Amino acid sequence: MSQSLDDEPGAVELPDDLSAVPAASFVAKKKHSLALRWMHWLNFPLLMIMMYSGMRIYLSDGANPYVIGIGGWEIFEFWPDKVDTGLQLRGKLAKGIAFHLVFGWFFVINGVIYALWLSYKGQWRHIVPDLQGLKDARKTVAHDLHLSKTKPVQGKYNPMQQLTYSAVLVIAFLLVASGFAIYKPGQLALLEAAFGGYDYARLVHFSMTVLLLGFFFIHILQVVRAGWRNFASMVTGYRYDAADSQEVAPISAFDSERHDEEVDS
Amino acid sequence: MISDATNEEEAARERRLREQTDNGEIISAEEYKRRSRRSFLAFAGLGIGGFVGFNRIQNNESRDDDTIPAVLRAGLEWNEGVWERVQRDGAKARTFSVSDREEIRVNGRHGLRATRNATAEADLIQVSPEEAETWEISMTGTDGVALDPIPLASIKSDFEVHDMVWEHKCVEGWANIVHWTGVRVSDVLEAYAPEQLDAEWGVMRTPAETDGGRQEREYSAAIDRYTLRHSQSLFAWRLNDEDLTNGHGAPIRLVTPLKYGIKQIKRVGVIDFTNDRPTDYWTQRGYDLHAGL
Repeated sequence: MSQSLDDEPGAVELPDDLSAVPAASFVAKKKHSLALRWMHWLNFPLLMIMMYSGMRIYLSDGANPYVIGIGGWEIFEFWPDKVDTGLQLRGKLAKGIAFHLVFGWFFVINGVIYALWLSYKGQWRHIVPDLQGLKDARKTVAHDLHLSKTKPVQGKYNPMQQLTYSAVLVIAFLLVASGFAIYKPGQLALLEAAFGGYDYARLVHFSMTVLLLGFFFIHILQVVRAGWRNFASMVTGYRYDAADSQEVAPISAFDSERHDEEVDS
Repeated sequence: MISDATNEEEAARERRLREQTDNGEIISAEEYKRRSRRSFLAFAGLGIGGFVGFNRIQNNESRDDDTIPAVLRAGLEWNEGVWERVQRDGAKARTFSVSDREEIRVNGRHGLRATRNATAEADLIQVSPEEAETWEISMTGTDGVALDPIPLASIKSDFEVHDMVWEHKCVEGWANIVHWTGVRVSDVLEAYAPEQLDAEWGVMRTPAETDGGRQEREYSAAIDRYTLRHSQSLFAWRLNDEDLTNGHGAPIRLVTPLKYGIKQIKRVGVIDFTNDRPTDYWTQRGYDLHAGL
């Protein structure tokens, strides 16, 4: 994504001195390519279908639910009865399996293309934090929780976003790998063995789903917090904002030389 | 303020990060409005299209003799092709030692019941020792002509007996390591119907009803040639060192770690060989015809 500012119609050249730009002036900065937006949004319906059909499969064995507990003390059972009955999940195993094993391929294909695209385009740098980023991630959390006023420096994504998005990639990989181990434990016996056997593969598959669901809710919360313009950027590809905001600032605005001048003034 | 940096080092890092990952094209507000309108329209259109498409799949008619949408059935058949292609001849499922074996529940009772929806062991059709002694598996060949039946007594005495321990897996998700005692299906067929080993399918069925009160013998499982010939496909009569109970399929059942439990038919009474793609009890109810693992 290293287009120069004026290779597209409509590109504008910003004045070097941003304090001269009137506050009311708005511009938009390209954030997400069309490919990225497609791959991002496809996950939403696909994972809805996968989780819904997956829960149908999971609930067909009513005798052995996964339970979180200490000793014999049960804290939480997957899933509470209200979820089962509310979503009408019981007694639909055949359709659940059919949806799961047909639509799973689309999730896999989307993921494989995304992984190739990340490496080919070098965009893995966008989401994989470096060492400093790992150290800085907690500062983002402190800032988001209003415990700290300063936030760490960042590129397109802040360090905590990077850490989370990278973790989601790992989760999705484990989800698919354990899924195949459960799907074909005979033909893919080595994969099943890699997870420590069939029951562990199932547990990993289920746990990764719960983690992904947890990510989904936090993701929604953060999108709501970040506001409409951020959401819109995932649809349009462009972040629309006041010309003097960090989100749409050109690289020149992050000139370290000038930064010192700003601090001085 | 544009920068988050608090010192020169951070500022340099920030500049580098922005250059690497946030160096997108900048357009005017007017241009943005034009482009974003297009994007939102496309987004809404695709969203509605996806929703309609999903509903069409949900409500897509099933083929005759099926209960899942025809597109999903086509998807399952496509999967079948994928896994057949990566099939390694002679590959065996993992086996365990006898000491690993576990208890296994009685789950499917279809084809075994004296009355519909019966669940208690006593409500299943009881196969008496006398009936077991004269039990036969009747067969029809690919040409539809009846073949000589296989006497159970012969299955138990004329072939090499194998003890095999593997993990039995149910479509519902549970699995148990179990110990079976039986003989290879391929050994038996080699002796009784060698030419039928070339048939693409053998559809095994619970026996026809034997008297007026026994109407529920209706279970069937279509088994592909690869599985029929496989060294881990057994006609078994003992489970965990005990004779099969009625609920587990006395007097004789099919077991194989290559398929889910729905294919491991209990109480085999009939085998119909065919080269045409068959259906069976659970396939008619929306499950995969191969149900392979």
